[in-house]
Amino acid sequence: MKQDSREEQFRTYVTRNRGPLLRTATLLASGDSHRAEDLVQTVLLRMYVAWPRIRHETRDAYARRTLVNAHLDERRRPHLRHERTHAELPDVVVEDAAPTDTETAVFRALAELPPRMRAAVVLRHLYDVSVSDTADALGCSEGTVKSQTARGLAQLRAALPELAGDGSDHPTGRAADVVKETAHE
Amino acid sequence: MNDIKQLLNEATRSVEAVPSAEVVEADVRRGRAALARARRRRTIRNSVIGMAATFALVGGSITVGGLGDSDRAAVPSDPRAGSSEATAKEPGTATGVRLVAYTGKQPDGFIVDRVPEGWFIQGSRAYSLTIAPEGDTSHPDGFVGKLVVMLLSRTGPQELPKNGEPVKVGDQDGVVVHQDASDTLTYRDGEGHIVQVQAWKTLGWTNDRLAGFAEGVQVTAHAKQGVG
Repeated sequence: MKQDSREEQFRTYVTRNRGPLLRTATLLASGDSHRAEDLVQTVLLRMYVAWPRIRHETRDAYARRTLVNAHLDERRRPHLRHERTHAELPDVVVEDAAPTDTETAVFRALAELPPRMRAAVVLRHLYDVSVSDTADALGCSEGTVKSQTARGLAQLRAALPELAGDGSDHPTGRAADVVKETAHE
Repeated sequence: MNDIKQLLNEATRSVEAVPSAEVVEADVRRGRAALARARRRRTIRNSVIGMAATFALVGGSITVGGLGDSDRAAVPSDPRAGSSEATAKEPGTATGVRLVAYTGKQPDGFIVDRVPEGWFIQGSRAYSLTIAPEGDTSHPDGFVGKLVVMLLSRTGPQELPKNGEPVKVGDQDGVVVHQDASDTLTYRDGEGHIVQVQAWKTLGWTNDRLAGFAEGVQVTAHAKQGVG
């Protein structure tokens, strides 16, 4: 009975949240769809095992934290990126479509950012995750989030002409917030 | 004009917003398999720890004289045996494992009102009652990672320890002694017995919760004191 409940709740959660998770993972992986899929599967697998211990209202935060951890862990352990053989074929075969110019430019620019800085920018600007929640996901101080985000945006702006002068240092694009976010470093 | 959010959205536009049923089921299947692996690992670890503890305890154990093997109760002379492994790997919680009403068949030596949630009565005899977490397949006489009830040994002073923290079990006096890996509550039950409850720290219990469990323990006429 408990198992059924876990599976049913998990299935509902995956149906609703896998898309956003995969989008975030795709950006963290700088467009590497295979790696993004690996990251999401890692997150969901850990969530399933820990499901009874994750409160309903903190599931998204848990998923973000686990995703960022998996992303950073993987970057720290490059040997894990080597090809490995498996006894079973993957569940789903994914075919990559040719990337658009925008995708190519954005992913290339993101790839230039250090992993933690990239995570800060993605969390803050794709989903408007608060500084506090981003700090929680990254396991760092709010000041670090602000400085990482500001530097990340500066690098992206230099790499992507479309961003120059768009005032997007903050998710809402308010210039005043730029000062507030970087004043406490 | 593009902003960063718009660009990030554009870059991930091809990512499926809603996964197919096949993809969701694959996630469920992987999760289920991972959970089964985690449970198997935990069971094996508990078995190994339990066996190691049992073997360790045999050397310095306090055995009940004149009894056959089947009735022999082993009491840890050093409750820290095997503790580093157990405490390092078993997750604790801030509030500890909850107590829930026990509705199963009552054991002979000791009757319990409540047990830790998800735990079961693993072994029951006149000399001790062993309660273990679900999935634990180790021998009931291995006390590592478990909750154990017994009477104070017949040998030695028939009094409460002097070096612990005082607590109340109902309106009776008790003392909790903290060791590295376990806490032991010794208390008078008001009927002439001195009862000991050893709780492994993986339960995450406070003195009050330990005393709360003890309040629901009744010593029956079948209970016997060990020797040693």
